Order: sequence, then structure tokens, then C-alpha cells
Amino acid sequence: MIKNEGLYITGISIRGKSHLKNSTPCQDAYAYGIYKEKNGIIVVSDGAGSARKSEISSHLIVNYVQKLTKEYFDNIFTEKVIKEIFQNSFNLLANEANRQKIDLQEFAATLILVVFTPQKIIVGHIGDGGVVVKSNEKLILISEPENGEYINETSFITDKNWQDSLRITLYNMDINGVIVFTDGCQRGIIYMNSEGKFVPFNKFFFPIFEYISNEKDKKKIRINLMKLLYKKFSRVSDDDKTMVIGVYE
Amino acid sequence: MRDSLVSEVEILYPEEPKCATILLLDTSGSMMGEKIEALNEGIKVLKEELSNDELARKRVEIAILTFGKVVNIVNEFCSVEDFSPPILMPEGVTPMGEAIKKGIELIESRKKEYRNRGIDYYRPWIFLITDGEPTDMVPGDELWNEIINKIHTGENEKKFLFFAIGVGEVNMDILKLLSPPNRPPVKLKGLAFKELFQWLSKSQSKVSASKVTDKIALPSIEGWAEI
Repeated sequence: MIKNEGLYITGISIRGKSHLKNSTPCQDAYAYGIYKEKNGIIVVSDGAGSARKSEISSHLIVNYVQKLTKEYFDNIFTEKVIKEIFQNSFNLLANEANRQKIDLQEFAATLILVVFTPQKIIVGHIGDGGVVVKSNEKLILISEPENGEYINETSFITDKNWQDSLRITLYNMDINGVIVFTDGCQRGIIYMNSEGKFVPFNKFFFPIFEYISNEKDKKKIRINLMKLLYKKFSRVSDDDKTMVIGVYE
Repeated sequence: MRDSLVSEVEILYPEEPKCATILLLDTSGSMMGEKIEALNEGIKVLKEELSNDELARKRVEIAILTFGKVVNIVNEFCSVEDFSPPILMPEGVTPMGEAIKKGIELIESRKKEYRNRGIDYYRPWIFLITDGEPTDMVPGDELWNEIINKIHTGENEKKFLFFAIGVGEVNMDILKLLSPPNRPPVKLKGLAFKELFQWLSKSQSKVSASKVTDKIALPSIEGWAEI
């Protein structure tokens, strides 16, 4: 948990049932930071279940991307810089795979980078998971999961053609809160509407944003989030679950 | 005081992801006798074994299409629970081409339904069992080319997995031509239908407990395959 100038960010990852059963480590990872007072950075990565070393790559990459984002911060709200950060992340994993003499695919992981201020937000996104923003009492899914035809089939930063799957979204709007989540949570909180478009589930997002803004005892938030993920989300998916939340109070 | 977060927020509970399996079964006249009896018993075994697996029971969906006197949808896609094993009666010839075509259509429309309902799914399986050779197409004719193309591109484009099983006096050369190059047909050992369907159930249990991107090692086919 960190708090600065009215911005509060917290996050949690839990291992899914299937990973507990096979004693696989948690392959989700996240990092976040507050920069220059009011600017939030959230990075989330979901290591592919089929990739044997993806818990290493997901953890490695989120910390690296967060650090790099701070370095590039002055020009972060441009496609060019987001692309550069993703290129550097790919290079980092490629070099690391080379050094460890393993196939780059063993590092397969999704990557979501979110940077926001009270007035704007930019997202770079490869793979599934998503980003929901609360803006003046409206909920907007600003970056949605990219899924292949079959369950859990998606794109990864380690793909040869990762550039084709990178989606960059930039919005100028009031930002009251941001939630970034991995695919383990996805089915429980977004759904396809009658027009075939993914939309946020209001009854989840409004109460959770409200709770975090109003909770005086910030230490409790993470515990409650953990309870929430374990108690409510285990029926949604067997997979690891991550949720990182930023709120302007 | 606010410990009630868990009770305050609501979430959606999506349906279980589905794993569609279609059986394309030869019910031509030559299946008469022991063969069809063993096949009917095998289908019962499939239902029993899938019912005993917690995940497979919730995720596998079965359809049966027979080809003999006519191409007939005996069982539309349904859950393991709703599936009642039919008693098949052999009669007629072997319109295998039409059956494969219809089977692929059923798979595609089932997938479309899943998509419309927002249900995740696994790559479907097509399981062909025959003791003869097609009577509605020969290598090189129009239907043959269409079917070969559908099977091979379908497999390549990961639309489904195609398995062909030959029984008794089957023409394995034809089955081999039809099958995707990466998955040659397998000859059933005697009338080991029970073992075959046990294997199918075990395989489906593995698939339905996996992530699709995982490389699934299927169980050994030793118990029912002629090697």
C-alpha cells in the first residue's frame, strides 16, 4: 500500500486452486508506484500456465517495467514511449532466456502497463486481463482482454510478433479510480453485453471503489481484498488472480 | 465495521468452460452382431466414466451422429448428465463423407452458441469409428476433396481435433488419407470398445482439467489399439 497526495494504490495476487493442487508457484505478478506526487504507475503480468518459468518472467518484468516507466516518465503519454518500454521488456526476457539457455516461450507472460494522472491515462496491453476506470460516476473498460478462440489462449510479450498484439489506449478524462486485473478475475467482473462488447459489472466495481475511498483503516484494505478473492472468486476460475487498485480520494 | 466488503460486492459466476466431443459412428449393415453390441456397451462405459469425473462431468458435452441407411443425429450436444446412451441398430451403407461434413457443421454451430452465450470452450474433438470405407465418395471426387480439405484445414487451423478409429475389415488406407497427417488413424484391437471409451473418457478428463495452451499428454492407447 502506498499513499501520496490523495492517491492511494494497493494490490494483491493469490494462487489459484489449480496451482495449489500442483504446487505451482503464483505466476501472476504486479508492481506499482506513485511518481511525482499524483501520478500512478501499475504493472501487471500473468505468466502462462504452460510456460515452465513464467513465474520468473512475470516477476522480473513488472519490476523492470515500473523502473523504466519512471525513467521515461516525462514523455510517457505517447505511443512511441510505451512501445519502447515493451520493446525493452521483450529484449530483457530474450536476453535472460538466452543467458539461462532456455526457450523464450518458457517465459511466456502477458503484460499490462497503466500510467495515470487525475486527468489522463495511458495503457499498453498484451494479452488477457483488463483495466477499468471510474470517471465521474461512470465505469469504462478502457483496455479489454485479448482472447484467442479457446479458453486461456492469448498473446504474450514473448511472442515473435508481440508488436502486432500490443494495444495502446490513451484517454484524456477525469480519473477517480483504476482497477487492473488478470484473467483469473476477468469472468467475474466483466461480461459480454447484448452487442457482443465486454463491459464492467457495476455491482462489483462501484462498491469496491467506494469501499476503498471510505475505509479509514488502510491496513484493512488488503486483507479484505484477499478475503474477497479467496471467498468469492474461487468459483470464477482455478487460475491465479491479481487485482491492483488505485483511487484518488 | 467495513469487514463486510465480501458481502457488499457482487460478482458474476460464469458457466463452466465446455469441451464438445462428437462421435461419428458407423452403423452400416456390416456392424451387425458383436460389433454393434460392443459399441453400444462402450458408449455406456463412456457415460459412466465421465460421470465419475468431477470436472469432466461439468465440462464435457457429447453429441452422436450415426451413418448407415441415413446420416442421423442420434444425440444433439448435451451435458454428460443429460446424455442417455442410445442403442444403435445397424442398417444400410456407409455415407461417411456426409457424416463428417455434418459433424463439422454441428461443431461449428455449437462453438458459435458458446460464443453468443459468453462461454469459454476447449478445442472440440471429432471421433470417427468405422468398420468399412465410405460409399458416398472415392478419393479424388468432389465430396472427397471437400471432406479432406475440411478435415486437414480444420486440424491445421485448430478448429477441432480429428481422430479416426478403424474396426475389423476397415479400409485403413482410406482412413489414413482422410486423417490429418499428424494424427494417423488407429486400428481397434478386436472389439475393445470398452477400453477405447475408457481411454476417451480419461482423455476428456485431462483436457477439461487443463488450460488449452497446455500441451496435454494423452493416456496410452495400448489397451485398445492394434500395434
